[in-house]
Amino acid sequence: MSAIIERQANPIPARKTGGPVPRLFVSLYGVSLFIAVLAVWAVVAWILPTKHQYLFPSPWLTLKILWESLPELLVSTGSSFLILAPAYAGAVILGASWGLLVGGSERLRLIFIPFARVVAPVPPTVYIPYAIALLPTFRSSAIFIVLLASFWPVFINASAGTLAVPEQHRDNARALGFTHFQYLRRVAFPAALPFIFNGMHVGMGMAFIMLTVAELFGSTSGLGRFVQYYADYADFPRMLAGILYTGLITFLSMSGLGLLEKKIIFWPH
Amino acid sequence: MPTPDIAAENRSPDKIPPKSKLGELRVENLFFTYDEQKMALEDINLSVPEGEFLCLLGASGCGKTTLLRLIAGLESPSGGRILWRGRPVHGPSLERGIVFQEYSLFPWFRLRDNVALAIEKSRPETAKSERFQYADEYLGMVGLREAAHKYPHELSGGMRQRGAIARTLALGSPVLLMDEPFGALDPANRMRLQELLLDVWSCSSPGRTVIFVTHDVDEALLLGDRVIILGASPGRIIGEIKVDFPRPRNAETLFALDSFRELRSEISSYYHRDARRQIAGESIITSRQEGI
Repeated sequence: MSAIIERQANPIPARKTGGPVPRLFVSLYGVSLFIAVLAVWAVVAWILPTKHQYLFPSPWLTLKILWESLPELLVSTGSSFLILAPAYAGAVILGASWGLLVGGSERLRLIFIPFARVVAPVPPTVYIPYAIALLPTFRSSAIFIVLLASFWPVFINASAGTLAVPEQHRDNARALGFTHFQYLRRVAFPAALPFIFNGMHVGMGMAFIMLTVAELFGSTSGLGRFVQYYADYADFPRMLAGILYTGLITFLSMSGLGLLEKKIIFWPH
Repeated sequence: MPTPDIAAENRSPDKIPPKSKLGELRVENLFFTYDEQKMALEDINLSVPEGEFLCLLGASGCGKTTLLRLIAGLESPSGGRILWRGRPVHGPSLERGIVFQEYSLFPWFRLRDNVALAIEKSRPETAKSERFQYADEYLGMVGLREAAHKYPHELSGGMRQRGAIARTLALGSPVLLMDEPFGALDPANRMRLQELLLDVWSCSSPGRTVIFVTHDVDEALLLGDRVIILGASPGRIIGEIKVDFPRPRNAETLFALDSFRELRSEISSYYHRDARRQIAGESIITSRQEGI
């Protein structure tokens, strides 16, 4: 008998991983759904009778009108950002600093967290009419509403991040004799940055929602106003162009925030 | 010749040689419990004269880290007290710098800034540029001057620990507490850092007190003037050894000595006997739980 034991064929074949997906295919996969949606849109618009083309315009017509309306859209963007930028910046600064203070102090947590639990979930849209009535200008009331809406996610995440500062960082800060404010500024703030950015992403989404909704109410310019205005005049191709454009602006803002996050939080966390 | 002096289990405070030197650190009848019932440390009595290099040796879970954290002031004792220069310890202080096993440096600061933080605290009168100069000096002591502008994640584990040592040295603390600082390093790196630590310690002029926590018998004997052996459940002192090997020591010559090997095996057997008793005790409980 031979000493060599014949090796049985492996009953379970090794899983074929085939290595990483080639880069070209990654980008192809990434755009495939966009192409599919565009194709369905084009086909539906093509099948529909011509009389419906102003209710359901083809992608080409929409793009053409988007191009035509670009100057007006750019002005609207400027107007919207005059509300968005100060409101969002204010929400981030207030939310992050207040969140750090509250997250870093047991007593402040006891005071503020129950309040936040009740007030934060209220949909900020309900404040819009009253804010417009109460504050002198539309812009100031819109800034107030957008700020309020994006404040809560930043605040809640910042305080959660401060609570979640890893024990070793806290120990090191204590061993180095940091004061509470030194600890907040040099340890808790950077350690909580991933949380804060998370809140900033959610907050930015809220800011765009509140901005466009507020503009529907009483604005004379802006992106939300643009969409509302042409819908009122049943100029649906222009309205659709406005929606596409607003989507693009939102996407670009979010991507910019993502890039900023990557740049600021450079250490592994 | 080193004289092994493995003391009896029931140490009482009066057996500790009375010393009231200025720089002495005393631990008196220290108890520490967590979760209200589980005893982590039971009646620890310890006296560390100024300038001594003391090693706390024990298996993991025996409470040696807890003891160090209590001495650092990061935890508060449940009973008893800790005295430094005759004054009770309440909370952390720059007089007792601590180096942890890992992650001592803040990852968002460059190495130089990490060290400068300590200098800002120990010498608040210095200007910012001066602080960087001092920081570079301390980094030079641990051979990291070239890496001063790097971030911790750009350094190896050994370099990070050297950086942590530099930062703690920069605090200028007369007492240096080290919690298994080389525990996460590979053997070659560990040996280099042990030698570096001995160099730095022997160079510090007024004689820094070091309390060094380890579970490595070789490390304890290489570094320490005295080794305290801790047993577990509850954590208590089960033995004490004076280590008289001449300094400067280095691992190669020390490990070749017969007297070293004798002492080492003596400690190991003593230290392992308690650990085995532990494991035996645990396995009885487990088999009872699992049995039938």
